[in-house]
Amino acid sequence: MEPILEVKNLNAYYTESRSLFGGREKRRQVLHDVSFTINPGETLGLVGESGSGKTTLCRAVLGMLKDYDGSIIHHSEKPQMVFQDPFSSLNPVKTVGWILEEPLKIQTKLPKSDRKAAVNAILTQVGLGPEYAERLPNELSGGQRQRVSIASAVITRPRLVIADEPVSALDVTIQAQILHLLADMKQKYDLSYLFISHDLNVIYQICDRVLVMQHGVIVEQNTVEELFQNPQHPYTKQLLLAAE
Amino acid sequence: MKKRANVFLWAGGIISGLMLCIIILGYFWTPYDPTAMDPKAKFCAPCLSHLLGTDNFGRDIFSRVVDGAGTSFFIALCVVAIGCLAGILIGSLCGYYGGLPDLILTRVCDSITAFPAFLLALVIVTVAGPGTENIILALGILFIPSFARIVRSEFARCRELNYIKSARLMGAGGARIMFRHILPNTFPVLLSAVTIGFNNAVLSEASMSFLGIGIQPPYASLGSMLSDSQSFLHSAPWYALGTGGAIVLLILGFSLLSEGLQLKGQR
Repeated sequence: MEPILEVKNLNAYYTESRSLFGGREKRRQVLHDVSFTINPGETLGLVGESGSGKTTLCRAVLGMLKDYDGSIIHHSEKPQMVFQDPFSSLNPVKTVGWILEEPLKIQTKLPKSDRKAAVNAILTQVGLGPEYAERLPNELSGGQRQRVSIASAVITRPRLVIADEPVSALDVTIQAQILHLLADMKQKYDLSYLFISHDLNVIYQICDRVLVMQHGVIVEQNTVEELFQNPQHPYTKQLLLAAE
Repeated sequence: MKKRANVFLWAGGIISGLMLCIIILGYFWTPYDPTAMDPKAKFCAPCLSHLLGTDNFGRDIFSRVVDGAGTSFFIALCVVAIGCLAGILIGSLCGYYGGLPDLILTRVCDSITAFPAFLLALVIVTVAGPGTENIILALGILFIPSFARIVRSEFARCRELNYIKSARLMGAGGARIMFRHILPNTFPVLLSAVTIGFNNAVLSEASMSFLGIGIQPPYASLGSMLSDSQSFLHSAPWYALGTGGAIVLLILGFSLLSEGLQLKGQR
């Protein structure tokens, strides 16, 4: 089976410039020889402390990184993204309907009536309902906003969705609902996820395989069951201990 | 909290609305021809036939005030339109793309602001000659930096927000992101900038005309009328009071309106 995403020997660098005119620049390596694949229908978890390179890896996969070597091969169209903070991921002056229609306007040639129908359909699927199309983001709760974010990520039917800490800003009860929704959407749209989290309990609930990152290196990579039962790397053991 | 009536909004709306009605009416009809002189009716005190009295040439001051306010209003509108549109264009490009062009344009704007605006307008009008178009152009250019700076800072703030990142991921182009996704977010700030800018434009035009480099006689302008009225402050105080009152009302109305709109936005 052909994977959806193949990352091979990825090294990424980050340049700190000291002043606007350049000055002394420091090029720092933030990812070291990272290789992994994501298969269709798979949820790949990515754990690691902040600063371990999770976000950089994310940016690399999204094609937002310029300074890197190695290869990033997408076997599908562009991935979409669900962000951590549900309060900055939706445009505050636009209605939910506008926000969801926008990706269709950009990526498809659907007529207006079809776009509206698609928006209403997706709103129902994420458990909100068509009446939410007229609402503004600040009229919604954190969980509802995250539902809209998920809807806007999947409305163009991508194969891969990157979820960067999608539930860590939410209450525990809402977390469970959103995780359930993500699993539901995966079924319906045949998605794969790259799921970033620092919370191993969340990873355990939703992921099939896990990458453990430390200081820009993938220190361990295994299926969820194996990783939780039989961790190899000391850093993984440490993370598991901390999660208990 | 009990919702209190927004006094600023109401007062500003009423004053501005009234002034606007008179000004618009003044474009079509004034009680007398604003430039018609009447030697028999010099320095009439305010009465029923001349609401604000007459001046040293026997011209009806009310008609001249309405006409002058109309001119000031038109000039201020054009100035704000030029400043606002050019400011949005420059500010959004600088704020969104950043880099060296941003650095250069920001510095240019800073240096324009560093000069007393009035002095620059004086230079431009002296070189280009007086006249309505030149005043509009001079003040318009001077008003660009204030708008550009506001828009730029809003764009620079929004550029890195997640909803803009996801718009980029969807494949939205630069123009679409700038003008459809970010620009509506700047409207609340822009609104108060427009009202403040409008007031500044009215005042700048009045000051230029006061100094004789604005609207040229015999056409009426609030600034030049105020300048003329100085000589007759004791013999015909209604001249200065009527003219000055019109400027005050025009500016007060818009200031209150902008204050009221800001209060409304905060609620």
